[in-house]
Amino acid sequence: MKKRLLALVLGAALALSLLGGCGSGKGDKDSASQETEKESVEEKEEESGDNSGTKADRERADEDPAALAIAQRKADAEKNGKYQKVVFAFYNWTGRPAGTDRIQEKLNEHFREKLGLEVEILLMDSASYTQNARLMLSSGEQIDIFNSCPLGYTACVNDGYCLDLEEDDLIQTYGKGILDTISADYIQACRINNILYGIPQMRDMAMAPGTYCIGQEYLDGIGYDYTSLYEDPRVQDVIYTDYETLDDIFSQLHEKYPDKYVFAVGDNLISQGTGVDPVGGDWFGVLLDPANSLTVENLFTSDLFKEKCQMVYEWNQKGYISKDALTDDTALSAKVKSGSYMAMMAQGKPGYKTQISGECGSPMIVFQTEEDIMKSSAVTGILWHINQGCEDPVAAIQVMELLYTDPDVSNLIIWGEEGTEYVETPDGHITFAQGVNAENSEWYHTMNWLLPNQYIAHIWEGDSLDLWERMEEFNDNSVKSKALGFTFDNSEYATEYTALTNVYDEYIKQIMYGFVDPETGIAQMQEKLENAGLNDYIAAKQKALDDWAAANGVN
Amino acid sequence: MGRMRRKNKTNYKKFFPLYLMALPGIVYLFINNYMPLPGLVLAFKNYNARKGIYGSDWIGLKNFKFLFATNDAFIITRNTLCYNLVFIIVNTAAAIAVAIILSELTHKIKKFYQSVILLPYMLSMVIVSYLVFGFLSMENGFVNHSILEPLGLAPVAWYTEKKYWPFILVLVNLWKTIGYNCIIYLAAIISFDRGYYEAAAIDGAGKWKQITQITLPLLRPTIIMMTLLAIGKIFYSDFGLFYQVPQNSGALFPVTNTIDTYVYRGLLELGDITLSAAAGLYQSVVGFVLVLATNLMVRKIDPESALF
Repeated sequence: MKKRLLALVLGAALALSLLGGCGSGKGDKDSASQETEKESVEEKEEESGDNSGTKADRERADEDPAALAIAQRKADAEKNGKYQKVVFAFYNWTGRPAGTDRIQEKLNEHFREKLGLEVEILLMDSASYTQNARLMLSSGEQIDIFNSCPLGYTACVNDGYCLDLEEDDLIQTYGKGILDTISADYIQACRINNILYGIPQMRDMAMAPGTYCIGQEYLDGIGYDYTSLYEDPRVQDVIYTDYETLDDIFSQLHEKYPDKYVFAVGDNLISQGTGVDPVGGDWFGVLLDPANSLTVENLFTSDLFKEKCQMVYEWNQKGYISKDALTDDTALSAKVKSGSYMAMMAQGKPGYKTQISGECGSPMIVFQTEEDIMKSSAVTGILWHINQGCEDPVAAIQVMELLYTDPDVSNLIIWGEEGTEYVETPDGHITFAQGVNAENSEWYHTMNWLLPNQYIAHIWEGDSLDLWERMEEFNDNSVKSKALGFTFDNSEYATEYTALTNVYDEYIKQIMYGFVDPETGIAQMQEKLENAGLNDYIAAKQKALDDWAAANGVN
Repeated sequence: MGRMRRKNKTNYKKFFPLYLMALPGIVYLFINNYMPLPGLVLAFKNYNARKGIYGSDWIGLKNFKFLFATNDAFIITRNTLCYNLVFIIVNTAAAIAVAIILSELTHKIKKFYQSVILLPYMLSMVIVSYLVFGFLSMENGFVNHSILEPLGLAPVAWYTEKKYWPFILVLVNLWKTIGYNCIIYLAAIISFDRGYYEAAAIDGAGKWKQITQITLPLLRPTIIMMTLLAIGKIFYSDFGLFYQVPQNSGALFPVTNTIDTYVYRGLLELGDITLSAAAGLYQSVVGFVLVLATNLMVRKIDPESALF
């Protein structure tokens, strides 16, 4: 009897604790949603009246709906004792940094004062961001401002996640600062069917393909004189060279350091290694000469593809490449950092030498082999959006405007707190504060290129102070893809796309890493791709591109 | 009738603590497995967040097309089914054999072996994949360096040679799951009445006779139940085993691509939740039908052993 009683009590306790856990969670949520409901009701009530804010606020409000909205929010906050919240989501490579709460509070000092609201920063590593952001967007959880980069722009638009930013002149009325910051060409490139769903950040839109980075110590080791090769000796940034020279350097490196691998090979041979434009966001139908032609062609039967693969194949035959390369997914710069590899390839930009030397942990010499280009997806690849389910788009776009235009806010979200994370150097750069480094800093996410405006923030030590002027020059002077801004909606071809991706994954690494003879390997892949519907897919893409070109007056 | 009711009542009273203990599990099952069921409707829709799950346009079976319309459909279905069949047969046979051997050992040493065999089951597939890589790596792998090289054999590029992988995968799966399966069979064997064995021993039956004549027949219901459960999952593949363990090596796709990895690769970039829902629904429905069919077959042959 006693035993049974004990079992009963234990069972009851277990059941209650579980139900209790559920119950309290649900209760919280309910009361929260009730509050927001209440808030919105009150908001509506107040909109009709005219009793908001301080006198100064009211005066400005007479002229400007944006100021009116701010005054309204401040008045609401005063009445409710708490501020309205805007959720801002982005990603990095390592997950939520330790200083997130502190930086958020610092940011909110600005947001409360300037906009009468608070932001909540949702910072995740890119893999969880992809899953969580999609879940939050589809389930209606609060996520007001998000970036579509890991999710895909067209996918987000197709699934209806992105708000039309020009609905009722939203951005024109409340986010004018954004339009003043970003060039109209880039804004135009983001429109799909003439609807503006997202806006880009200030960053390198062009790329320097085929940028080969070789460890300085190894070049010194073979006695290679690189100092005389810089075009502009004052800015010793990049050396323009060709593949024969590169081949020559590689063979000398291999001879001098037979125990190290010469080249950390990656799957970026075409994407970062050439000016080929993966128009529409995939490799099934590309623009081989994007500056001059709008003909969608098959990459895999092109001479260029074969030539590049042949090059890597020969490198592999000569022993420049690790035999485990096929299964080793370590980042290229991490491989070089490990000390077993001497060179890697990436896409360059002004200031890249500093960046890659930092990533590789030792000075790198940067060689560029191809012409600067701006590919079709350059602008739309990394866009900021407002969630279509956002309850207060006005507040969200005003938060975005401040991020694009306010140097204090931009500095905080990019570099953290002055004195804690960074200090200014006498010459106007910033660097780590005393005792802080990349490992222990509580806010050093290096996502400055992702956040809305890095141009108005400080410049980190090592980069030249005119970096952003050079960046704009780089963008302006690059060759532009004729399809700049074209996006391809492949949802009607999901079947073909799935099959093509599987074939591509099956062969591409072996071919690009030089583990099969391109002569036979490419032909096999091509045959399978054709069976998977490559030609239909390319035709569909060509048609979409033609329609787009006609609609946008491109020829 | 009155007596019946009273008996039921006492039954309820008697089992009430048990029901209470099951409650958390039932609540969990309901929340996790039953509440999301209406979401299955997504498999037939063209989802748009603006219109919501139920408001999105109905497009019928179009989402299922991508599973069948390609040349790969045959390969991925074959791989999924055949691997799982082999897994069921090999794993069951091995688990029973090990369980019988363990049951004959003394208590202390039995605990030790049991823990050692169970350990791999606790490991994440990602870790397992690196253990396998430790054996098969081209540069530093144990097999190439410490076995093939001393024997004077040429090293094998394991991650590009697909002919070895059916065996490697079966072996890895067996190594990983045998501990868990064998514990279930061991628990059943231990509960058997020792009287049968004593009687058999007196009648002169050896160990082998005891195993074939007593242990196996008594194990039959457990084997049937375990097999039925496994058949329900025959259209699912262990994603970690087929994706992580071969290091996602393209050259091995013809022997490692299953429905799950195919869907994952295709939809990773598309990010289309309706296609994923369609694939999941297809797998569940086929699994469900197979369980019903198998149970029907079992009932025809041996009604006592059928699950329902």
